Amino acid sequence: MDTEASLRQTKPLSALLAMLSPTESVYSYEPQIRTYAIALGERCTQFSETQFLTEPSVVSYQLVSPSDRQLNLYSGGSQDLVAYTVTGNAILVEAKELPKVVGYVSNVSENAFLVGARGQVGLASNWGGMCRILSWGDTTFKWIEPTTTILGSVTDKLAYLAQYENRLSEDTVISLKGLITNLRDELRDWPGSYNQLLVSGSLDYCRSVLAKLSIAGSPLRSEIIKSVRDYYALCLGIVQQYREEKSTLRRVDLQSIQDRFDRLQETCATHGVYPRLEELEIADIPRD
Amino acid sequence: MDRLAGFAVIIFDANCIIYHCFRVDLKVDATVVSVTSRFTPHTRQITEKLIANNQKVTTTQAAFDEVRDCVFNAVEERMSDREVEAQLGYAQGEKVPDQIKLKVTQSVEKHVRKLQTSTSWFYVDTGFVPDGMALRALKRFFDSQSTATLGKSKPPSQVDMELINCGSQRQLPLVTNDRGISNFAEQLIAARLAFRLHNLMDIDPR
Repeated sequence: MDTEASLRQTKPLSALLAMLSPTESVYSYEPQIRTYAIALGERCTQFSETQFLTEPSVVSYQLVSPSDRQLNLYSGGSQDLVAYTVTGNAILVEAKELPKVVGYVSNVSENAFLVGARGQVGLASNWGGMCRILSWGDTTFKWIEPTTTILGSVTDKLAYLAQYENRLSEDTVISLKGLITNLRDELRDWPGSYNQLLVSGSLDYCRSVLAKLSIAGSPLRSEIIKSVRDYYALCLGIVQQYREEKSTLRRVDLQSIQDRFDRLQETCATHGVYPRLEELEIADIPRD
Repeated sequence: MDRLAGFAVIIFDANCIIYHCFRVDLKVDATVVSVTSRFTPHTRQITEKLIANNQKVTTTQAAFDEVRDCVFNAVEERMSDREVEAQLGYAQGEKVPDQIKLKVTQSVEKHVRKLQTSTSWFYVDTGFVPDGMALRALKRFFDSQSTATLGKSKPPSQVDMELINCGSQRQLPLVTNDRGISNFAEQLIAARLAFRLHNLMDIDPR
């Protein structure tokens, strides 16, 4: 944890942000109050996968040969990473017997963070419960002001932690609404089925809920935003799972999605934010 | 209705059942708009006559299992109709929101499922077991038809063929809105692969 202080040095990150295309920038706005463990490899230039940890758990990463320039997940073996609980919902993931790595995780904007290792930096977005690397270039280190608490980092090992602040601002609602709209629009191009409509229709409902929240404040605003955000993450998981085999979505049992959507409707209706689908009238739907 | 007279039970395909149930009231400002399928009034006239004559309606389990996606298709088709879009107050080029489509779909599906539990005139024929040999013969029959004879219809599915076989085994008329089936009624009956096949729109409800 001694390296944490050095990570707090302040330098602007505008140059790196400017490297991102507008499309990539869209993805860099996902509010989360989550803890992520990111494994960085000395020679890796991209992640093949990152893992979202919701509770203390053991994860495994393997550094492959330098020529592959990739970091892969694997199970078992001597290079297991062991996860320890650090605080509440924070997780420290420590590597065993891995090459020397120096890196950090920090905040570059409200919803995105920078990851880096040995002269390489990348912008990662916290995207619907999944961590996604948007850019990974051989640039110089970009030190930034960490507005988010860095819970810990382990030099010479393979572990980084970041806990996001709970900022449910107006920007949060707008950015979440944008993500939901994108996902709903993507689903509209999928082969038509009840399941496809269940996901796109419920996301459309979520979009209206957020629009209503923007219009009138609710004492339970944070709770509702969290419910919508969690529901969005669930839908995103489904979309990611079936993106390569879109037609198979029709045959999937989405009862768990339906149950979660029912609970979300209940929450919104109980607090008078937005009616249940059954009671919904055309006039209730906010127009863009 | 004469075509269906004298039979205690009539087999409907999933779409005919859905047409009966497809009526959802949506409040648009101060008025209520009833969204129905184009076939709903005609189908309801038929089912009301059947009910009045103490006749029952049934379908196979396989057809009933398909209800959810059949409802989706019926709702999607209807809600994309400019006439419905306009009734709901949407301007040209403006689509009905997905949440409204989902609301209508779930409402129609709920109505269909309720038929099974809260009416005495509809039941699912859970005891029907399709005859493998007959199904193979049906498949050969439809495979031998040119695409031109099918017109705009899709080739009958396994579920469609089971419905035809159900009618044949139970000696009950099958009502379908699928021209890809009903157009072959005479040939299927002549080949002893079907009992009676009627297109929904060919039945005069009077």
